[in-house]
Amino acid sequence: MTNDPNAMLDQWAEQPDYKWGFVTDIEADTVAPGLDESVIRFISAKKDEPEWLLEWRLDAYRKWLTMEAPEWPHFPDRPWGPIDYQAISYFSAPKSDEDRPKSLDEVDPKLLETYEKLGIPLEERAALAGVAVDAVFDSVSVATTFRDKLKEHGVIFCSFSEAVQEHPELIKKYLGSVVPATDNYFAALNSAVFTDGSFVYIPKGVRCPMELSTYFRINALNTGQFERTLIVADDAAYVSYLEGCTAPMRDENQLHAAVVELVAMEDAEIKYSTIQNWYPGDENGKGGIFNFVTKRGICEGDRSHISWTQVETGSAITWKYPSCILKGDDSIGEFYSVALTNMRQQADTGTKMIHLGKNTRSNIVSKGISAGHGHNTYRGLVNIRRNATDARNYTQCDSMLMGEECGAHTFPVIEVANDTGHIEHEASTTKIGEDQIFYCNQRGISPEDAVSMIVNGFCREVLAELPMEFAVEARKLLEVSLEDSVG
Amino acid sequence: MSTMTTAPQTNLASRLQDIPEDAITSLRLKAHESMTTMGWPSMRDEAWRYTDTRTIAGTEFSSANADVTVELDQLEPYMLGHDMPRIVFVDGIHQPGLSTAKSSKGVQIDRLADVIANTPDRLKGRLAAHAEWSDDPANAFSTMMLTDGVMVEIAAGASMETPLHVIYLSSGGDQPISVHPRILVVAGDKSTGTVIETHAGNTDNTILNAPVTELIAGDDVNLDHYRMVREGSNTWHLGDLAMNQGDSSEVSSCVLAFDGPLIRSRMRATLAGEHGNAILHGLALGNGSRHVENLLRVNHMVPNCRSREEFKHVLDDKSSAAFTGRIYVAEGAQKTDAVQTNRNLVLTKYGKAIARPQLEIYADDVKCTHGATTGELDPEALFYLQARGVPTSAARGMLIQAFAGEILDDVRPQALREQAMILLRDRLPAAEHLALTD
Repeated sequence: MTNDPNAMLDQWAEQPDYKWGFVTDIEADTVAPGLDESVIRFISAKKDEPEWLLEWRLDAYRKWLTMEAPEWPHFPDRPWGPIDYQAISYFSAPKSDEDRPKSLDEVDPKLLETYEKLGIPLEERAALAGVAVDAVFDSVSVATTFRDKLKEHGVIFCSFSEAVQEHPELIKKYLGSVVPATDNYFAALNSAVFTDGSFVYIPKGVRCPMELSTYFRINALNTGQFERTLIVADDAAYVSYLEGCTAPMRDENQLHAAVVELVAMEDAEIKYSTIQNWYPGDENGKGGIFNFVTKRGICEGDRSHISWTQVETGSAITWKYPSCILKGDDSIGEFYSVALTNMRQQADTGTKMIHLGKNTRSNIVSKGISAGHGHNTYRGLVNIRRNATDARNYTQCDSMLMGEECGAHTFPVIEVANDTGHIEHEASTTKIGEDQIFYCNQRGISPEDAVSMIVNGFCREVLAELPMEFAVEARKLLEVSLEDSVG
Repeated sequence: MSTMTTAPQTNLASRLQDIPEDAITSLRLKAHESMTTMGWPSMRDEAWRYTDTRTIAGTEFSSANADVTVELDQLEPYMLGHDMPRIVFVDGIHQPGLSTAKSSKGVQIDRLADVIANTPDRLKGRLAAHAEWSDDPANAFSTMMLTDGVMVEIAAGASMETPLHVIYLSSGGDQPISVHPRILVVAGDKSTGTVIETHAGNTDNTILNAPVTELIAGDDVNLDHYRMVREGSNTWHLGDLAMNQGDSSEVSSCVLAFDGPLIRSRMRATLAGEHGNAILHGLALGNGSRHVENLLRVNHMVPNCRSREEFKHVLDDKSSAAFTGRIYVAEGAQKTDAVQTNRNLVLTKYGKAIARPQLEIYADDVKCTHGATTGELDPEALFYLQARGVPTSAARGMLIQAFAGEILDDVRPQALREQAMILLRDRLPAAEHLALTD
């Protein structure tokens, strides 16, 4: 332990060992690497999908072929080549696909063990926190809890494949309605090859009795994970959805291109929280997950409300812009984000707030922490259309830099097309002051605790938005990163 | 970099051939090469996303007619008093009869054409050295066609006693013409000076004006620059400005955009010496369907520098404004103190404001902030004034004037400040104009 704040910050920037890197050995039913129409037909057939969905996938695939991969972020100290999409295997399901477990007892103990290692045992957590978990292990849901209780309230919470079988009318109506299949390169890829995900439908007037949660985990080597999440909150419904993930240690880059769509009808509210802690690669930038996610919600009805909260500490490269289309009058969109980059991580994240309805409001709070050789970028759009009278937006993006080789960047775009819009944007960049650490030291607080305390204080506004259990986990996550690098 | 949307000008090469060979021919050729590789950008290019250049790209421009004559009274509305030394160009052609500026002790004022012909060594490492043309078609075009302009060289320790006023008047003719004004200011150590440029025209003729100004400051320099834009109703203004500063120098530039259908100003300040201070200000008044574009970049290359950017747009009618400001802090440029603000006042339902305040930071011990606001006139302030008996129109006028005044207050030459204030009053809708008269 050192008391020199500078030395301490330097150590902070060094790589913490990735505690949660381990691989579960399960025979996966994996399709050979490569992508063409036959792979898509294979996935669709395997899942026994209706014809229209196969066509939808093939359409997306054909459009994807004509699109170009984005290359906008700069990688000043990290060579990053194009992804070889033919080297990825597009389907991997745990072997027990045919006879799915009916209860937790039937779940492969190895899977449960995996969750044990994560420190968040499925049943324990579910029991303690009253959280229903639709656990996604690789690409197929293997355990779903609390189905009955949710059923009582008329809430549908199931895997995407089940939803396709059991509620095809809802899937057909809402799939791709917020993120069109051809929205962007990775959304198109996802639309073509998505394997599973979660589906939530909250009927009119229902307040979902518990927080819904899914754990994502990438496992099989070289398998890109293409999740699809669709949440529909009907009139005056409320749901809080939690998504969190960690991934095993891996040498090769893995691609994750998920799509999340939220639909909020009149007076509905959706709260979507994420903790992302995938393998970030080692200190030399080797390995790590490419996390290219498209998340978008539409406030379809008047007075609807969508709130995105995210804590991003993992992945080698993150491109993620959870957005809100504020279509209904008086609707509200919110985005709260903490992104921490260390070693050679790059986080390029932000949001889009599209104001279409009258009296719409949006609030953006983004906190970026860069250490080591990490780069943090806020990229956002606030767009107020001509008819969106009396729209309001407040944006705050703060960056904290630790060490001399990291970077913090902000690229907001603000477009206002009428005179009644009120837009405020603020951004600042700071480092942890030596005087702040000295102040803490003087009062008997170790440098390590001081940094942790200051970082937590810096992120306070965002952490406060997380549901309680998640906030604890998030705080712990930030601390774990600090623990190994200080003192 | 760019994709062309319309047929580009085909006569670029022949126009270049018409320029006689001289000391900067190789520069022109390089610029021409860049220009032809880049072409006129489309709105898919990040830097040109809000500037529609399709009409410009599709227009065949020719050079100006050398016989145009202008009388002093035509110039009067744009002058800043009879005493301020001036250099006048009409359609890019020097007017000795109207120009009054002379070199004085320590302050060498020359026509660029003379310098190119007689003492081209003075341009080495200076001309086109800081104004980057390889990534900007407007600058490349201007550099490619560069034949004349103004060079001001202030010797070490010297100071300009009065500001120098460079007036570029556009009149045009039946054919669309392009004009390529150039101002090069080289300020030696411990020198001071002020240069004002006015781009004006009272014509409907089709003109492309692509001025490039370079300010090169040594150590301990104090240099102020102003650019007043009052173009004609069919004159596209694609301006560029580059500042490069040495140790402990303070260089400021202010763009006042009042007239013209398209006013684009690209400004780039590079702080190359420690303890430098760069100040970029701008005020734009939008009416009709004017589009104003301000594209800024401040490069903090060394530690301990300071930069301030403040841009205000008042948008009436169907006008639009786009602000893009980037603060770049290089690795090791510690103790950087950078502030950037963009404020947009939208007066009508059809006004449009776009703000892109950007930070790109590679050093940890820095203080960088940017702020952008867009809104209408504060209804509470309006109500406050009305409650005290001020008519609505007058109250609106007062508030707009106060908003814009924050930029104009920092305009140091009194004659320019007053002229800008009068223009502001004239450009506001009639009711507000009435209310503003003293």
